[in-house]
Amino acid sequence: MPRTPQETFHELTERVAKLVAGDVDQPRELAGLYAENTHVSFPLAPDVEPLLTREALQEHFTAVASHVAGNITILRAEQVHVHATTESDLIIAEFLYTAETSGGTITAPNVFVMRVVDGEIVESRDYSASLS
Amino acid sequence: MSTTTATGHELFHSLVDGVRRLVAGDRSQVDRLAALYTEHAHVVYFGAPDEPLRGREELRAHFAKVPDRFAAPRYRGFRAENIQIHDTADPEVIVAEFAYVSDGDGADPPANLRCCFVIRVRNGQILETRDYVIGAL
Repeated sequence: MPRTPQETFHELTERVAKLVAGDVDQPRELAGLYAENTHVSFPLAPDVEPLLTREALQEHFTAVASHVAGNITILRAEQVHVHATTESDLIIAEFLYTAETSGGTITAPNVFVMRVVDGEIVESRDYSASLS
Repeated sequence: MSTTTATGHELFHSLVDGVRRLVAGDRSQVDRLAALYTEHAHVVYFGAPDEPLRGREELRAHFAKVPDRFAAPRYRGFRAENIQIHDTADPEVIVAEFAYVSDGDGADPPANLRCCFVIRVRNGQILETRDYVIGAL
């Protein structure tokens, strides 16, 4: 049985938390949640190009790891609310990333509109409001 | 007189259509827009500096400021585009992805605000919306 869209989303946030905690295997593991040809876009960051391949996702997560290294020690997904939709492969997940930093706790609200086919993310629009 | 209540899709289209007319200067939309919400509706913005709005009166006051706030020529032709509405497993909840855009005035950049609204509808009115938007218009 492939992962359900809900399971895929939860695995994504768990692996992102491990990535931020410094687990060097996670960029590859995270990229493996996506289809070889996928479409991940960030509508609230119009200057950021969509990510279209698993390889681009792996590079993205590697860059995230180096960006947060030394800044964010713990990242958690909280207040997670996954909406199933009338399309069985499409979910909409609302959640809050809470990050512990040297300067205190910061939070970032997110809503991901995510299509998962055969346990792989084929499309995701990640509405991520900036950390505040 | 019809006894059918508005669906989430109809309410969303009434909302963005009313906002389009309001930005264009039609102040009669203020009451019409406020009436789309329940008496104690709750609107929360994520990614924008705006404070949450509680209740129809706060919403009415919010909408009343819109024509002045969006009076600049760059907001000419303000409207919602690329609307995708998702029905969720909860019959009260819809999710609308869309963009607020404008034609601009040829000098300043036009509006291009990407939005994702999670809207809970009850008895034909908006009970709650969580609006994920970018910070600046």
